[in-house]
Amino acid sequence: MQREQLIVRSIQSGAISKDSEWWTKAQFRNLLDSLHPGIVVHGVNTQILYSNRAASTILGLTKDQLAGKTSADPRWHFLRDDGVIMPIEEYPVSRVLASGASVQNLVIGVLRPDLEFPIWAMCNAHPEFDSKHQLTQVVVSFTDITPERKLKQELDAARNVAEKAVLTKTHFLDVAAHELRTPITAFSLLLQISRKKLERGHPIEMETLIRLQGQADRLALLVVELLDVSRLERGMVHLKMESIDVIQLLKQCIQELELRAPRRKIRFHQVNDQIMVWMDQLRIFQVISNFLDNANKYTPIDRTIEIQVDDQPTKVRIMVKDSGPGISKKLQEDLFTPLTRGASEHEERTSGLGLGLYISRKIVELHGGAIGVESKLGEGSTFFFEIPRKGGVA
Amino acid sequence: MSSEKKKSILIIEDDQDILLALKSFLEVEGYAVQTAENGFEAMELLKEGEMPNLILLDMKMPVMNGWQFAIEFLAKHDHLSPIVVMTAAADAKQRAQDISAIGWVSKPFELDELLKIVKKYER
Repeated sequence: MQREQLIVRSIQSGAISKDSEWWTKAQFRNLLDSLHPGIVVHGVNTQILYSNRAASTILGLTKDQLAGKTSADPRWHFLRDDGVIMPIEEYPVSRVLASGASVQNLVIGVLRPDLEFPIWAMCNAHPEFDSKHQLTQVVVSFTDITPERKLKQELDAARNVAEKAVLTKTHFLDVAAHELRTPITAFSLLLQISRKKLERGHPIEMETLIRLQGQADRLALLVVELLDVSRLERGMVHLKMESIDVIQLLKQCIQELELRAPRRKIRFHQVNDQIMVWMDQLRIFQVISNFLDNANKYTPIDRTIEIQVDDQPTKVRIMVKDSGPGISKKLQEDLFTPLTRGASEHEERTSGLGLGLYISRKIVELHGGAIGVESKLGEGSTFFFEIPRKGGVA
Repeated sequence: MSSEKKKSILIIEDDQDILLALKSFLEVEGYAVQTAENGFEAMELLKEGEMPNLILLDMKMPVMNGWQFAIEFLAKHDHLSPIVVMTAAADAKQRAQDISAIGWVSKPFELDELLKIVKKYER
């Protein structure tokens, strides 16, 4: 940039013609017009005394349009590096006029009335003084860096996505470690208790062994869940489609919950005797169980969980309504993405990997269906999914 | 002295097996043990009756978690019972400090280690 400044300075001062007389002013102007950077020379009132061809290209004005203009044309805006409109006193020419010092490598956006997006330029500005040290003019040069800047923005965005993914995975590992520790704790405590009993000469009870088995099963389930997500994400899960009675399936799911939570009241609003739907029975069972488990976890024990089936011509919709605390709009949005539960540690209420609804979503989507929730804080939630009666992915 | 009143401990923990193992262990060690499956049940339990000499508090629980319980407990009963946090979180100490609990124990833990902590902090 310094070189262009020097050439302009030489032309303006006339000094160069003494030293190298074979260069005419016209030749210098041609040289300036052939340069890649835009050059604009401002007078002390910011009016434009000279501009080269590249300046016209970048600013979107002909030389004639530029001549005599001041830097304060309201139809043009300069932007700061962060995209905010730059006040006139921050313009390079204004800063040089105010301080008498150069401005170097300032990134400026040029918002032209004829373009939707700004052109970005790297800008330098230098003052010129006369023999009495009076500031006479300001030489501004600027290079178009729009393509480089766009590339940088794309790289930044890609890096942000990658960094976020790494954070999510790290967070996930934290949660997984935390979740595995709970059954391990129970397992370890049951073993310690048994050992103390043996030491006192008491036998180990069958109940303790059953509890140990239960915790081992729970650990195994957590591992299955982890594998499930991994396989679903890699598209390695294939459905075994059959014609299945949804009513029977729901009854099985309810029975299973009743075994795990005998005190829980469940109401099934059954309208039909039989609804046959094309599905992978085990996978849909998994989705319904996930809904029921969640409802059971989040609803106080004295309240009822309600189950409803809506039999429509092309699809069937299954709803599980709880009277839990309800879910905020914000949380609803990413409830079906991995690891959103416990977004704040103060909201951590329940164990599990927080993958249940994510797995359910993937399963329902594999069936060509949709999954969702309707909820208001303080009024409970209704989780639903619908799958086509026939078809989807076979 | 056999006539001396047993010290009481309230365990708040949603995992049934952990709850039962701790209860049976602490009872053998001579404590009167009360249990609650979440913060809400514990608050109900504390409405009537005396304050326990110590509270063992799990953090991650349904209905009312440990963090919410601690806030309600401190608001209603101040520091009448010392609280010891039992957590599987990596930053157990921080979790305890967050709710101004007197101590913490990281899951999984040894029963004898727990007993030391209980004896250290019981009122």
